[in-house]
Amino acid sequence: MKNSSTEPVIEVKDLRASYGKGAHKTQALKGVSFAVNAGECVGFIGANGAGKSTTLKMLMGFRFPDSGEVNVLGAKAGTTASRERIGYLPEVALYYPFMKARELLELYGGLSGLSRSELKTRIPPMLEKVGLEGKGEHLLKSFSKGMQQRLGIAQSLIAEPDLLIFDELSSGLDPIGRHDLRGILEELKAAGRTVFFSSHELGEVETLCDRVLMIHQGQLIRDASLEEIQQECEGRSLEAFFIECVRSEVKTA
Amino acid sequence: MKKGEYIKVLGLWLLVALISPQVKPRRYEGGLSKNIQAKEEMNHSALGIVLGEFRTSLSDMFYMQTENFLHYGVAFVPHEHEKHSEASEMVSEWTEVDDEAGEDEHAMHEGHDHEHIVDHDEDVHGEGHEGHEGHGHEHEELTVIPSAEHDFRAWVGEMHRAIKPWQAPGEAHRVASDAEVVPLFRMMTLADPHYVKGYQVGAYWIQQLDAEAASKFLAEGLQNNPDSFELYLMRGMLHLKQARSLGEKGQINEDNVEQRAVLLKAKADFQKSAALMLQVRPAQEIVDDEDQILWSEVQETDAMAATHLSVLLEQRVGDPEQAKRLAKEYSAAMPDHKKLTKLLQEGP
Amino acid sequence: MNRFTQMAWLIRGVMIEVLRRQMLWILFLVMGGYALVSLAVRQQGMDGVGAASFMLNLGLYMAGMLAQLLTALLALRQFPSEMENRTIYPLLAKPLDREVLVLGKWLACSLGGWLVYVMFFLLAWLCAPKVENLSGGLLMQLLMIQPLLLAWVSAFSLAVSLCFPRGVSHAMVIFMLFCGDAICQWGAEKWPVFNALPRFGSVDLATRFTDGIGAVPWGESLWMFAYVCLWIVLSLDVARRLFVRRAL
Repeated sequence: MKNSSTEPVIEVKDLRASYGKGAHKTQALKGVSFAVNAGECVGFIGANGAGKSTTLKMLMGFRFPDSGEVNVLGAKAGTTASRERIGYLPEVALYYPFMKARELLELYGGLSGLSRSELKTRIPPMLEKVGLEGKGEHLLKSFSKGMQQRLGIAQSLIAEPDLLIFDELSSGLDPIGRHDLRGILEELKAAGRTVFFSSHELGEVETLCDRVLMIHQGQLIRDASLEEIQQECEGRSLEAFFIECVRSEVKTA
Repeated sequence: MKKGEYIKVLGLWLLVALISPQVKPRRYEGGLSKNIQAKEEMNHSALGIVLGEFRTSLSDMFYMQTENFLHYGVAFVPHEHEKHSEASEMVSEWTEVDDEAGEDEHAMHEGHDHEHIVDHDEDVHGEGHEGHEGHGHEHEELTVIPSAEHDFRAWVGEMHRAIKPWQAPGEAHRVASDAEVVPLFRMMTLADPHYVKGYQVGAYWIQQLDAEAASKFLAEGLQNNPDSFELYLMRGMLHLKQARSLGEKGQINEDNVEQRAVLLKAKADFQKSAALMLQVRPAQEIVDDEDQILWSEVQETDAMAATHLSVLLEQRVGDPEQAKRLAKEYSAAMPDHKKLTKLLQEGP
Repeated sequence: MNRFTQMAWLIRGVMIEVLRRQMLWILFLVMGGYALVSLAVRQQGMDGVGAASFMLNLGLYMAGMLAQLLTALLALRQFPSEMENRTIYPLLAKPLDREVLVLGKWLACSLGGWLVYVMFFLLAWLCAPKVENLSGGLLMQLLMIQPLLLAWVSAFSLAVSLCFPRGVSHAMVIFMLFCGDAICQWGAEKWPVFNALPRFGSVDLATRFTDGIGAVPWGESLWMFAYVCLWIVLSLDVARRLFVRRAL
């Protein structure tokens, strides 16, 4: 584990965010608070439009909160200091079609501060790791969506970050890709890296995570360890439990 | 952005706007419609040349359209019109202010092949005349088809005249009046505002409908081409016609206060035209050279009209002594201008 | 993390884009067509000085205009494409300052455009007939102002691309490139506010060069450089301010 401090790696306090203006204003996050500790693997689940991606964008500094506080790796979210040791995978990205896979990893690695020699030694094994061995010299315009996603994972890992934030982790991946990805995440977990990801694949969350955060209509409705949830599930799947939680929230509302 | 940031950006933008007028690039100044000297002086901007020529070509195309429209292709030789000036035609019509001038300017037409044959008894192609129905010209249009009384072909001739094969197919039925040609002049001068010929000939046609509109059209032409002596000449012509319209039966009477005021305007325009002309006209030996391309016959005709009318009006409504001085000045530059020489010899 | 190194990486990325996109090769074909015509004309012999100047002006004008067009299209595409394809996220997930990203993209597009200009200029210069004795000083000024002009086009395009939707920004920049100077000259006589429009054509020295006019006097050239530099600063400032606080 690289981050040995007791301070949470991610700290979100009363986060509020909205989209639009005037009559069209939509409250996307209504006071979300949580923390992720070093070495944890946390799944962030919620229905479409619940506020998952918005929260992740705030963690990365892509969007700015209306109010609240977001700290990542001990620095304010969005600052370069906070992003020095983060690996981020966006939901779906169409990488530069005119670039080769190697060149793309060189670009992202270079921007992360890796030297040319480091890049030279890291890129081939990284491509192999994500199942793109031998594709380094291929132009990305020839890559399928799944291959692009694999490359996205590679770019997020290239600088060996302490914290990994994945938005819709297995989006676009085929079953083999998902299996491979699971292997990568387990490896990262074993290496003590902190992983925070959002996903629709609740089975994936169940398999990989230590803790689960459930969000619904901009509010965090559950923050519990996987064991706690499994106890509450009473033999049901996480998916069934999630649906029940959401429905009870709707009734309460 | 916040309010303060907007102010900073606007401040910077204002600074840029203030500096902008200090950057003065060389600009392209028109195409073929300019006289030869101006053409020689124009810059070598490839885009300017291509676009300028395109604009002028477009105007030329519209001009050809007017020619086709007005002449229905009868006895019309493309480019032949280049030898003739519409302004000089007006001179021949309007300078009846003075019989002598009328004769003089009329004489200028001799030797020119022109599609508008003005009351001439010539017989083009030896086949006789026929007047155009609905044609606004004050003179008879010459055609290759004989009139009924001269035609031996009986019903064949009748058919020939009824079908009117000399008219542009598909166009003839539309021609109700020469005035219909006016929009073409508008288009050609919009396409190329330096198309002096468009303003000059356009004003001639527009004045037949609406003198005031012609005056405005010409004013626009002068604004775009302030150095064009042809346009000052044409404006003088319009004033001259206006003066005639104020008199009884179109006669000029210098004692008529209204007429005199308009004639003074015409005089000023002719003199301005003559002055501008003298600035650009090449030496007489160049003008006399048949192979030269610096000074066209049209320009020379206009130049003669401008100088002659300047002197004539100065004599009639200005200072006779000044008229003499002008005549001397013009004669020095244009020694072949017979009428000027005559005016000088005879005096006022 | 060294900002200059990051900028160098961004420049490398854009250079790869310049080389691999079809646009460059299409423009090269156009320029190649000019070169062939020019060589053929030289072979046939010139009618006169005017024709030679026309060909030279055409070559220099095309080199400048095509480089400007390429720079503008490159810069106009940068941010909208990054946002549309979501590549902006992994880019900004790296320890890369947004200001550095704007600067890096600007430098990259300017440099890309300038390299293309150098190639096109050489092609035009080597193939075009040169009959007249033209001003060497002005040629130096022309070559000095060109990178600045391309930097201006690049900065302006980046700023416009962050202000307006893609189609509008493309139409605006291309219109201003070709007609900005003429519009400004036309309008500024009546309304001084037209002076606020960018006059890219005002610093085109190619025509002055082929007209056989000497170098731009010191005072005039200083105004020219100041004008271009201020436009660069203004455009970059607008782009920076618009991007730094933009929610992605």
